[in-house]
Amino acid sequence: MREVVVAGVGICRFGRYPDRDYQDLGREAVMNALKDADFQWKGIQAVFCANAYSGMGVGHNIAAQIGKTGIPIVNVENACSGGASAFRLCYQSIATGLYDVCLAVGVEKIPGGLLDDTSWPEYERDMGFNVQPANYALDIQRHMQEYGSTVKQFAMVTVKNRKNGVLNPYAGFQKEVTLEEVLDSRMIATPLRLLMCCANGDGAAAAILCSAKMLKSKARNVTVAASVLTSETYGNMKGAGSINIHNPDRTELAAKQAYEASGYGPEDMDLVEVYDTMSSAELTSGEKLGLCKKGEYGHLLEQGTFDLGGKLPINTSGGLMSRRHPLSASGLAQIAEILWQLRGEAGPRQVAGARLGMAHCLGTPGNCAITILKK
Amino acid sequence: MLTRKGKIYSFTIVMQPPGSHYKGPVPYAFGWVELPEGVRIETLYTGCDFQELHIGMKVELVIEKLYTNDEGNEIVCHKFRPVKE
Repeated sequence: MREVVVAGVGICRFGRYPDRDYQDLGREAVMNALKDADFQWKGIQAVFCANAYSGMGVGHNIAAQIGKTGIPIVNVENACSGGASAFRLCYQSIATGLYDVCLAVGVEKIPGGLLDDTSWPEYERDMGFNVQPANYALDIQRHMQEYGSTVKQFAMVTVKNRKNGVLNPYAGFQKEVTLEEVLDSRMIATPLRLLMCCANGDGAAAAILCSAKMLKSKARNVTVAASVLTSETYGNMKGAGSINIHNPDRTELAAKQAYEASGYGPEDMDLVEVYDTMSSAELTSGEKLGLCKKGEYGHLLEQGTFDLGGKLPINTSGGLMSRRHPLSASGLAQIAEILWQLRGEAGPRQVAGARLGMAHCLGTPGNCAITILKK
Repeated sequence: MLTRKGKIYSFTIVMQPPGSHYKGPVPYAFGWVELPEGVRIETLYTGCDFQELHIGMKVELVIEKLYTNDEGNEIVCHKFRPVKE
C-alpha cells in the first residue's frame, strides 16, 4: 500500500441555505478544496460523493457545475459516516495505486427538527424508536447508572464545544452558551436537552487526497496514518439481543483497527474530533476510543483536560455542536479540522505543535469511521 | 416461550414529536427491557407516570393500541408497564 497524502480541504460553511441548491453548496466546497490543494479540476481522477437526502446522481450534479471530464463518480450513502466513508474510498483508491488524485465531497440539504431516520424497520418507526437523541439517551442512562456520570458533565461538553466554535470561522454557531442555558433548555429525550443535541444543517465539505509524488508543497505534507470503517457487532447497539454476548462495539472495533494500522495509540494523539451529535456521545465515545478509562471522561472534562489548551483538546473545531450537522458532510469537516491543525493553520484555536490527530464519526443504523492524520 | 415479566435496562421519555412517520402520542417513553432468559428487547412503556420509570424497575408485557389508522382500525403493539406489587 502506498502512502496517501491529504492535499487540501474545503468547506461551504454549515448553516441554512433556502436560496441555494446542493449543487451550489457542493461546488463551493470543492472549489475551496482545489484552491487549498493548488490543484486543477482536470487533475481529479475520481470522485466519491457522500449524500443521504438528495436522491440520485448528487456527485454527478456537483461535478457538472465545475466540468464534465468523464471521470468515474461514485455516490456514497453511509448516513453520518458518509463523508468519512467517501474519504476512505479515496484513500483506498490511491493506496492501492489505482489513482493518484481523488476527491471526496459530502453535501446535504436537510429538514430541521428530529430526523425521521429511515434506516429503521417500518414497525419500529411506527413506534417511535428511530429518534436519534432518544437512542443516545438510552446509552447515557446506562452510563450514568454504571459509572455515575452526570447531566452536568455532558452539559459541560456542549459548553466546551460551543466555546471552541467561536474561534472557528466555518462553525454554523459562533456563540458561547452557559452551563445554565444548556441545563435550562427544553427537554428533548430525557436526560438530553435541546442544547445537548446538535442542530441539523445544510452545507458541504470536501477533501482532495493524492499520492506523495503529486503533492505540490512538501512543507504541507500530511499523510493518512489510518482510515477505517466498521459496522455494529452482535450484543451492541439498541441493547438488543442476548445479554450474554460481549463484543467490542463499532467504535471500540474501529479504534483497535485504526491504532493497529497507524502504529499509534490514543496516548499519542495531539487532538481528537470525537463525534458529538449529542454531547453525551463525546463522553461515551471518548472512553471507547481509549482516550481515558471507562467512567473517567466526565471527571477529566471537569478538570479541563479536554479544553483547548488542556492536555488533550477534543473537538477544537467546536464539534457538531458548533458546526451544525449536514449528515454526509460532517465527517469531512472533522478531517478538515485535523488537517488545519496539523498544518498549523487553525488560527486562534491552534493546538501548539500538533503532529497527530484523529477524527471519529458514527452513523445510523450502526457504523463508525476513524481517520488518523499525521504530519 | 419467554417470560412476560422483566426489568428495565434503560429508558427515555421523548418530549418532542419525532419524524412524520410516528403515529402515537407525545410524550412517550421507550427503552430496553431485560427478561430473565437473558434477552433484551426494545419496547414502549405504558401504564404509569413516566417520571416513575427507573432502571431495574419490574415491568410486564401488555398488548395495547398504538394508533388508529386511516381505515379506522386499531393498530396494536407490545408495551411494558410497571408490575403492581
